[in-house]
Amino acid sequence: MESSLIAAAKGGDASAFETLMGAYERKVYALCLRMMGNPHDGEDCAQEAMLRIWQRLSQYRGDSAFSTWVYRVTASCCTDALRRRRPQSSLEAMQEDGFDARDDAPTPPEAHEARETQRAIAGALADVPADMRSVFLLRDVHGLSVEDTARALGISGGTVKSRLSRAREKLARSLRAQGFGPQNRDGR
Amino acid sequence: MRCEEFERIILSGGEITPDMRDHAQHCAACRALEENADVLSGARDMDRDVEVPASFCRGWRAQVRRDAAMRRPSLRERISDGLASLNRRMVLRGAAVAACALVLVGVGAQLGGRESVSDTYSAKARTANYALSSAGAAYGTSYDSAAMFAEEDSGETEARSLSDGAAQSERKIVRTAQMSVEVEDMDAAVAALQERVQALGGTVDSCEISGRRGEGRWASLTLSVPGGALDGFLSGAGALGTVTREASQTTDMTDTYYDNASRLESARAQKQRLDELYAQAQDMSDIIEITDAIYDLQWEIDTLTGANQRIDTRVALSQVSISLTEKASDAPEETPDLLTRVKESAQDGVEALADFLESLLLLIIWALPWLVLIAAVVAVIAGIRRVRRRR
Repeated sequence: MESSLIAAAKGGDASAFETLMGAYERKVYALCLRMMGNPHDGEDCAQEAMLRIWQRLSQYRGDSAFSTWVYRVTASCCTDALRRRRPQSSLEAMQEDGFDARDDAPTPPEAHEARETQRAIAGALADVPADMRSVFLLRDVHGLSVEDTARALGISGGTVKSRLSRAREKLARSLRAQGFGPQNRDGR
Repeated sequence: MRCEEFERIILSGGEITPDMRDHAQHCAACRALEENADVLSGARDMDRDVEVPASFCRGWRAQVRRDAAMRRPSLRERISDGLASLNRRMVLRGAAVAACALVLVGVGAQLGGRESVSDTYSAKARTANYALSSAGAAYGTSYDSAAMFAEEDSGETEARSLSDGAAQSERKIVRTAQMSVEVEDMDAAVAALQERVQALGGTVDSCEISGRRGEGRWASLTLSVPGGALDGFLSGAGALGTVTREASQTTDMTDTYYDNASRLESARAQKQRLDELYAQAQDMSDIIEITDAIYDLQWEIDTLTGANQRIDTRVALSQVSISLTEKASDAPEETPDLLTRVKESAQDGVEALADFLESLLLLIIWALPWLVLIAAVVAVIAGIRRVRRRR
């Protein structure tokens, strides 16, 4: 079904593309949101990613899964957007101005703890450099394999692993500093 | 062991096997996860509750549709392409005919070498005429009628598509107008307006008249007038009296209308695709998901259809608000004669007496329960006094 939609969309059928990408819009938006660190920039970036996917669909040859290619284009859009981002509007500067990347929406009590951890991770991600952040998001949040992450980001599997390890360590340190997890680990 | 397997076991809280230890020694990423699984285990669900903004969902679809529309060759491009190919064909035919003419001239010259100069000239002229007539025929309807019919058909098709295009790009202009008119005779003016609107195929949406006859009445009318007849109607309304205020507004709803139409077309196509998927779906979760999507699309289709119908109605019928003010009568009131005034006074007196009696009757009826109560109390008190006196 997906392949026929891809073929139709490649032929310029916008409605086929809409049906095809309807299944990915949430993933694209979520990746952009976490990469950019705030909903406004995340939405702008996700819009651009969707349009770029549409415009470059003819370049998709089917060598990898379509989802991997979608992530590749989206991650590329995020990288470009972060590069374009002016210093005064950087995430760090926004945080200095009081911006909090975490979602402060109220949560039901039963899901409170899990949501708090997720929010904390989302907030702590802002401290992780963009190249590591993208690897972490694709591997640990979106669940891509090492190979697919490497393909999506155009880097080697070894680079994925090294960036991932640093991202995980950085995030873990940040989360522990916020009081998540046992403060004094007894090691494994 | 692969990283994915290692992660799966670690994140599900499984036992660490010697294989895993071995893998972690060589894989820094997995080692980092193993050491920090207690705080990183929630990462996979981090985006579970992310809400995708509706503006994003609408925005990228609209962008894609716009881009798709821009990719299609425009009518002008198709026409110019057609003309270019027609020109190429004409040039090729002309060149072929000219070559034939030259060959014939050459052959003629060889065969009729003894012809006089004038004959040669005539022959050349005849050949040239033939060549010209052939060339002319090449572009005439009798020569290549099939091709020309095809061209005519294509021209007709283009013309049809042009007219379709014109219909497609028909502008959606909503016009509204307000007018204040001072009139001599309110009743006649209102009647004239109502009659005119009905004659044009419009409607009187509301009509309100207030005030006393002869003391400067005021009327407010809201009318729906066919868009094409609005200007004529307004000038007609202005002729009913003295126009003290006139205003009109024009709102171009073209973009909104065609944007809606484009979204509608896309939604219908998507719904058709989902209907097909629904017919093929076997899994219950797929059926539920597709049904939800179909409901959403149907809602969008209904909303967009309604929005465009409202625009169509507003374009077809312009809303006009007219306020009419009747000029107060300037003629001095005539003083009635004595007999009339006596009659009127007597009539007023009788009416006043009747009013008084009516009011008195109503007062008595209203007070009756109280009077009964007071009488009862008075009777009781009087009875008590009487008893005391006897003692």
